[in-house]
Amino acid sequence: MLGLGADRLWADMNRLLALLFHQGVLDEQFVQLQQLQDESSPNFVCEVVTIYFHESEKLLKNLRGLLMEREFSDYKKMGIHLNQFMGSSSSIGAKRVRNVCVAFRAASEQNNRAGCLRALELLEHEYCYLKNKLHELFHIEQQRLLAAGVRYPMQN
Amino acid sequence: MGLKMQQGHHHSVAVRLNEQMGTKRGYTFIQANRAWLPKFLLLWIMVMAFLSTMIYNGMDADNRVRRKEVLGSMCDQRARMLQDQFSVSVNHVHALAILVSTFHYYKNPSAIDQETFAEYTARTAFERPLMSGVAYAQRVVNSERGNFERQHGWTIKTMEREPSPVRDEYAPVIFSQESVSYLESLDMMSGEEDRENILRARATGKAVLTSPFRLLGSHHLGVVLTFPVYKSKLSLSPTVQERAEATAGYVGGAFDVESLVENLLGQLAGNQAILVNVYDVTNSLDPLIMYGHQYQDGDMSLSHESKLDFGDPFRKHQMICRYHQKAPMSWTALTTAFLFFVIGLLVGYILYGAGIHIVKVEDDFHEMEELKVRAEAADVAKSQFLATVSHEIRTPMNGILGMLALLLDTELSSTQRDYAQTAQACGKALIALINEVLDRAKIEAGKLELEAVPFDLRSILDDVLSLFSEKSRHKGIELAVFVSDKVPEIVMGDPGRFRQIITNLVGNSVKFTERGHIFVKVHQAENTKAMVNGKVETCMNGGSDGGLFLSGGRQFKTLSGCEAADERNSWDTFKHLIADEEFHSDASRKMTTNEASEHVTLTVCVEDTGIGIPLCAQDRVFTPFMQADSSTSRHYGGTGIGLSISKCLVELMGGQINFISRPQVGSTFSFTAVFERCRKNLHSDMKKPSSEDLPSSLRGLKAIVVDEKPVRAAITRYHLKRLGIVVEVASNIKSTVAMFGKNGSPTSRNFQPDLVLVEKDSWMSGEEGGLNVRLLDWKQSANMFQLPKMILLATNISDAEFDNAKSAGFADTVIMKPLRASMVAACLQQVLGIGKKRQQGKDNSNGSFLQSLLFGKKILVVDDNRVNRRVAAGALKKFGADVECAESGKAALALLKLPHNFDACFMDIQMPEMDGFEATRRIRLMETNANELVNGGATDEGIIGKREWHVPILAMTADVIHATYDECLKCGMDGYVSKPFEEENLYQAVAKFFKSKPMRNL
Repeated sequence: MLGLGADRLWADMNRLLALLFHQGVLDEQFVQLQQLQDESSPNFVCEVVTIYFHESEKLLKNLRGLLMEREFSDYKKMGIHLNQFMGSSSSIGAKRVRNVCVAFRAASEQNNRAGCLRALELLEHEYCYLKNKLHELFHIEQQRLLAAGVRYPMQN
Repeated sequence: MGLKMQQGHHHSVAVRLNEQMGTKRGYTFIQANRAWLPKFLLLWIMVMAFLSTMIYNGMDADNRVRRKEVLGSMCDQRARMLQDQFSVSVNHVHALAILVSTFHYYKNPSAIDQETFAEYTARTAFERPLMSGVAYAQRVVNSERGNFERQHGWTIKTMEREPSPVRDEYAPVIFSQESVSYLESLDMMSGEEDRENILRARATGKAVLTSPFRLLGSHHLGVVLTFPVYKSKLSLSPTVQERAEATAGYVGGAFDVESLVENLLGQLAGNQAILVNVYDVTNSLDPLIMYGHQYQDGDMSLSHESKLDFGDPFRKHQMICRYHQKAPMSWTALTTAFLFFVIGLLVGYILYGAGIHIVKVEDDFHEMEELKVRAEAADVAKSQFLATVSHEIRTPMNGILGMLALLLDTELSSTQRDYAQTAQACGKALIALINEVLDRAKIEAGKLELEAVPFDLRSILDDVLSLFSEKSRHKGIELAVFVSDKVPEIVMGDPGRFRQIITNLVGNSVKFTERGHIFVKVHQAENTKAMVNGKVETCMNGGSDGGLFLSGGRQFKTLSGCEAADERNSWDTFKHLIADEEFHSDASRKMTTNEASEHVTLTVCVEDTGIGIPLCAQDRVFTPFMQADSSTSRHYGGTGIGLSISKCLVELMGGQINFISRPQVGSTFSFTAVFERCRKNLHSDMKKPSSEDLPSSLRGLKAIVVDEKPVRAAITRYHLKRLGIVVEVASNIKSTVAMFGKNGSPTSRNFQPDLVLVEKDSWMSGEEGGLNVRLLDWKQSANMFQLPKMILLATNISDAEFDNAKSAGFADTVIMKPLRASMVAACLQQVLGIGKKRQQGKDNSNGSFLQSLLFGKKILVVDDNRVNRRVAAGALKKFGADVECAESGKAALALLKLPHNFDACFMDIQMPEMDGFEATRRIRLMETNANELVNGGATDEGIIGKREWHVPILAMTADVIHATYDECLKCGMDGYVSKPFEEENLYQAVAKFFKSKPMRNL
C-alpha cells in the first residue's frame, strides 16, 4: 500500500508538472534543472529554488520600494533589478514570471509608471502562484521520497 | 505577450530616436526667419518705391533748376530791353525840355510856336516809340493868369474841360504834339497825379513818373513822364525854392506802358511761353499793375522778379515773369524711376522666390532627414526585434532539442529512433534558420559573406527532405531527391546557405502542391546543357499547348505521373542523363577527379505539380514581400521574402535562378551555383556533417527495385546505391519473378537479391495474390539458403493496407517515403538485424566525453545572480568538475591571481560594477604583464621560458547576437556559452580548450 502510495505520488507530481508546463508557468529549463540533481547533490533543485525564492523576495521588495517612492525616477536601478530577476527566473525555468519581467522592463524603459505598477502587481501574482505550486511540488516529492524510503527496506 | 511588448518597445525606440534628432536639427537663417519673408518682400518693395521716388525727385529738381534759370534769363532780358527803350525815350523828352528852354525862353522872341513844336515832335516821334505823345505846359502864376489868357486867346481849363477855378499856380499846355492835341489849354495841375508829378519834378529837376493810370485818350494803362524846364541857368546846388522860382514850365509825355511792353515782347522769341507782368511797387504793400492781368493765371509755382529802373528814383518798378504752362511732366525721369522700380520689384521677387524655394527645399530636406532617421530607427528596431524574437524561439527550441536528446538516450525501436532523430535534426535546422534570419539583415546590408567549407551535398539534401517529409507524407505528395553521380561527394561552399535556398524552394513547393510530386534534382551544369539546348523551345512558360489540352487523360512520365511545367525532368530526358552517366560511369569517375577545373557548377531543379504561378505574377516573383496575389498569403501563409533571399544567395554563389511555371500544372525552379571542388586531403579532417554517417554495413548487398515508373525507380536506386547496394530495376512483379526464376538456378549473372523493394503502386496495380503465390512457389523451388527480404515502399499507407501488405508477404518492413539514405539504412539494418548496438553507443558520446573533459577540472563561475550561479555550478558539477563561485567581477579578479588555480572560468557578461568584459580585460592585462616579465627574464635561460599565462575565459550570455560574440572575442574571451547551459553547446565550447591536453593523465 505504501508502495502504491509512492506510485500515486509520483503520478501526482508528474500531473502537477504537466499542468505547470501546460500553463506555461514552467518551461523545459526546470527539467534540465531536475536532471542536474543526482546522488551527489540530492537536494539540488530544492536548494536552487530556495535561493531563487530568497533572492526574488528581496528583489520584489526592492522593486515595490522603488515604485512606491514619491519622487520616483530611478528606472535604471529598477532595470538592473529586473535583469537579475529575469536571469534567475529563466535559470529555474519560471517562464511566466520571466515574461512578466520582460514586460515590466519594457514599461520601465518607457518610464511608464502606471505600466510598471500594473506589471509589478502581475509579477507578484505570478510569483506567488509559482511559489505555491513549487511548494506543493516539493511537498509531494518529500512525501514520495518518504514513501520510497519506507518501501526500500520492504523490498530488501 | 513577450512579442507584443517587444513591438511596443521597438516603437518607442523609433519615437525616441526621432525626438533626439528633432532637437538636434539645425535651422538656417532663412529657415528661422521664414515668417518674415513676406514682410521682407514688402519692405523691399517699399524701399524700392522710396528709392525710385528719390530718383524721380532728383531728376525733376534738375529740370526745375534749368527751367528756373531759363525763366530768369528771359525775364532779365525783357526787363533790360524795356528799361533801355524806356530810358531812350526819357532822354529824348529831356532833350525836348532843353529844346524848349533854349528856343522858347532864351530866345526872345520865342523861336517856337505850337506849329513848330507839333512839327518837330511829330518828326522826331520815331525817337520815342513808347510815348503816345509829348506836350509842354507853361507855369502860370495866378497873378499872371489874366495876361496869359489874353495873350493866348483862351482860358485855362481843368482836366474836365471846364474853366479852371482860381488857384495859386496853373500849368496850362501851350504846345502839344498832334497826337495829344486835346491837351491844349488844359491845366495839368488840375489832375491830382499830374500836379504831384509836376511839383516833384520841379523840386528835383529830373524826370519824374506818375503811378500807372488809365490814359485819357487810349484808356490804356500808362504813366506820365514830366520834366521841368527852367527859365534861367541854375546854380550848382540849387535849393528847392530856387528851383521853383526858376521853373518856366514842364515837358510831359505819356508812356503807354501796355502797348509798349506788348511791342517789346512781340519782338522777342519765346513770347508765347512766358507771361510777363510789370508792377509799380513804390508802395510795397500795394503793388500797382502796369502791365498784365490782375488775376494771375499760368504757372504759379515758379516766377522770377527783375528790377526795372526807369530813371525816377522815387518810383520803383519790377517785372515778374511766369511760365504760361505748368512744367511738363519729365518723362525721362518718370520712365527711369519707373524702370528702376520695376527692376527692383523683380529683383525683390526673385529673392523672395529664392527664399521661399530655399525654405521649401530645407523643409523637404528636414522631412527627408526625419524619414531617414525614422527608417534607421525602424531598422534598429527591426534588428532588435529579430534578435529578441529569435531568442524567444530559441528558448523553447532548446527545450525541444534537450527533450529529444533525452529521448534518444532511451531504448527506442528503429522507427522511433528515426523519428526522434529527424525531429532533432529538424529542430537544429530550425535553430540554424533562426540564425539565418538574423543574418538576413546582413544580406540586405550587403555584408553577407559566404563560407567556404567542405560539405556533403547529398546529406544536406537528405536533411532538407526530412524537414518536409512529415508534411508531404500528410498531403500524400511524393517528395524525392536525386543527385547525379557526377556531382562530387564533397564540395567546398556554404552548406548553410545552400540548404537555405533548397529549404526555401522545397518549402514553397510543399506549400503550393496538393497532389503529385516534388522532385529535387542536382546535376553538374555541363551535363544538362546539351539537354537544355535541345529542349528549350518546348519549355516556354504555359506555351506548350498540346500538353495542356491533353493533360486530362495523359499519363506523364514524371515522378508521380502528373504533368510538370518543365519537361526536362520527365523520363525522356532523365533516362538520357542516367544512361549517359552509366555509360561513362567508370571512365568518367577517374576523369572527373583529375579534372583540372577547380570549380564545379551545379544545376538544381525543384519541380512540383502544384498550383503554379499566375502568368501576370511571374515577373515579380523575386521581389521581396510579393506573393502571386494577396489571396496567396491568406490561403498559404508566408511572407514572400524567401524567394528574394534565395535569389540574393544564388547570385552570391555565382549562379542564376529562374523558373518555369504553368498555372494549374506546376512550377520548376532551377538555379545554378558554383562550388569549389574539394581536394582529397581535405576529406579526412573535414568535420563530419551533423547528420549521421551512412553505415557501411550494407555495402555489397543486392536488391531488386520493382517500380513501374522509371524516374521513381531511378531515385530509389540512387538512394540504395549510396548505401553501397547493388540494384537492379524491374518494371513489374512479373518480370521480377521472371528474374528470380532465372536466378533461382544460381547460374546466370550471379545475381541473388538480398532485398526486394516494391513500390506500393506497383504492388497495388499488379495482380493481388500473384506475388505471394509466386514467392511461395519460388521459396520452394529455389535452393537458396536465404530468402530475399520483402520491403514495401509507400508514400502513405492506411492501417488496412498495412495489414494487407503484411499478409501479402511484406512482413519485413514498410519504408515510408520520402526516401533518405540514412533512413533507408536504418530500416534495412533493422530488417537485417545488424549494426544496432553500435549506433546506440554513439549517441551518448557527447555526455560522457564532456564528463571526461571536465572531470576534476577546477572551474570558476562568476555570476552576480545567485540562482544562475548555483545552476551553472550544478551543471558543471554533474560532469565532475570542481566548481568555485564568485559573485562579482572584483571577486573573480581576486581569485584569479597568478599563478592560476583554475583550469577555466565561466564569466557572466552583465554584472553590476564590473561587467564580464571589463573583468576579462583586466585579467588579460595582468596575464600579459606577467608573461612579459617571465619571458623577459627567461630568454637567456632558453626554451622553458615559453610558458604563457592564459586562463580560458568563457562568456555566459543569454544573447544570441553575433555582435556580442565579437565583443567577447575583442576583450580577450575564448568563447561563449549560451545561458541556460545546453549540453551540446557546452561541449563544443569546452572541447576547444581541454582537447589538446592529454586526458589520460588525469
